[in-house]
Amino acid sequence: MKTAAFSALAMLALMMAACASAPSYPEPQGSNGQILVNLQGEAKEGVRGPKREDVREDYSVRRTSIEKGEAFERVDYDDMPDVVVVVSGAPVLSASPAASELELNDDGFSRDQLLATMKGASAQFTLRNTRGSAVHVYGFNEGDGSFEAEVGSGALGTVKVSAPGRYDVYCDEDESLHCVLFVVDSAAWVGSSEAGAFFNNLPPGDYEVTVYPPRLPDWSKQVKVAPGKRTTLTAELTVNNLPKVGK
Amino acid sequence: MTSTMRKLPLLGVALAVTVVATVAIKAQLAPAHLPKPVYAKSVAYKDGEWKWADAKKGTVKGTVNFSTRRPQQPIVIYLVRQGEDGKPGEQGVYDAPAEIEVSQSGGKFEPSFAVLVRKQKVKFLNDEEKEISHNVYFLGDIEADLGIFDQGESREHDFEEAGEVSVHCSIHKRMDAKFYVAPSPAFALLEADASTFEIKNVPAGKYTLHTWQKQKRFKDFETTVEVTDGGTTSVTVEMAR
Repeated sequence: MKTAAFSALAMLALMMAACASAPSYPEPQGSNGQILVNLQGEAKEGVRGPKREDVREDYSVRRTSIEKGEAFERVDYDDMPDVVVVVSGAPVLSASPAASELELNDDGFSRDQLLATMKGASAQFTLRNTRGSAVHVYGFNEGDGSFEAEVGSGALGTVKVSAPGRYDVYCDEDESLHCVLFVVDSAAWVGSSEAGAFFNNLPPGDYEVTVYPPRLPDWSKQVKVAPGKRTTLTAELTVNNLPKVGK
Repeated sequence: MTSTMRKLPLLGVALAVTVVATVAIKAQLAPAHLPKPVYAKSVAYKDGEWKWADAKKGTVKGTVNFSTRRPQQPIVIYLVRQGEDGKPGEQGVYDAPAEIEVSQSGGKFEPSFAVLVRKQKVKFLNDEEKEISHNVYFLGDIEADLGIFDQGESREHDFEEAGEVSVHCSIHKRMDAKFYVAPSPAFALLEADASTFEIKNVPAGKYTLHTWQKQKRFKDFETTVEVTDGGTTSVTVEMAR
């Protein structure tokens, strides 16, 4: 009986979650199409979400570890920040300015991944330095696009990058810091896995959608966009598909 | 209330049923354990028949110059034995260094950085004092998952190919480590601000010298070096953007 009541409650919760979180996107208009990439946060196979005692354990360990300057938090696959989604071959869409903002504060870089979109021969992102002294950042790229920049204390700097690609960004003053800059010349999105990556007004054609979740394997798929239609994909953010090894 | 709104709870139930059904199907279709990791961008080397123990040996000594400030981070200089055609040849049969143990106590990999040699074993210990499960998975040149293991358990893996491996735990944030798997024991690790190196007991022959940087700021360098019996070969490594 208890189980039945629990199932009904769980069902209700799922129902409410489904109704509450369904975001609304504009319907396709005219001859262009859309791509919606749902970012399905899936915990590691076998991890069911923490039990109450686990949370207590984690919490107590976290408290002690935070005192020691180390965090001990769980990965939240349903709200994973700074997931980057790129639609290769699609024309550049107006990305939100926040996509290209990075802050360097006393805790480190404000995000794991950010985007900069090529406009003509270069792309740019902003770096706000809220630390008490000037910082030097550098980005490394396998091609010839590597960059260096200095941003004064309390200042907002604009960093120019000359070639598309993936850049590992580091800071001279604190070498433990790292984030990744994606410089793109096609439609791209960065955001939390809680939302979906929505691309509107795409000319019909074949595209490749690639999802780059921080610290998880990439996911990619070829898609066809038809006139006046929305193509919906589901990208699993998971390590479940990695080959199982070890003994 | 519009008819669409009245249908919402029904849609919710349908979705919930679908979710449950999908989970059930997935559980059934879960792939069997695969024997090998994905060597995505790693390099496979042939060993051949010749043995390091029987070879005549020499030394490679060198200095590393940097075109601009270097990060205070490790750099690995390693040698790859060339074949007749100048491409990677047989690397020879050697005794892999002893297994290393990696602790996960306190939600931290310790050591969090190590240079391994191909075929060296690594044992990950869940040595937490409390009942906390951990996972270990690899990304980078070698991709694989060692699964989840409880307090008191461990997982072992031997790296068969060379390359960079980022190590993470799928349960906990910020549990990260980095390994570099060298092709053979002929390597030198330059810690922090070191700029000279010496690789001893290298079997005589022709090699390509390569660099690997934990924090990449320069283009990797390579050059050919010849090791002679009892001799010392000097090299200058130029790290530039």
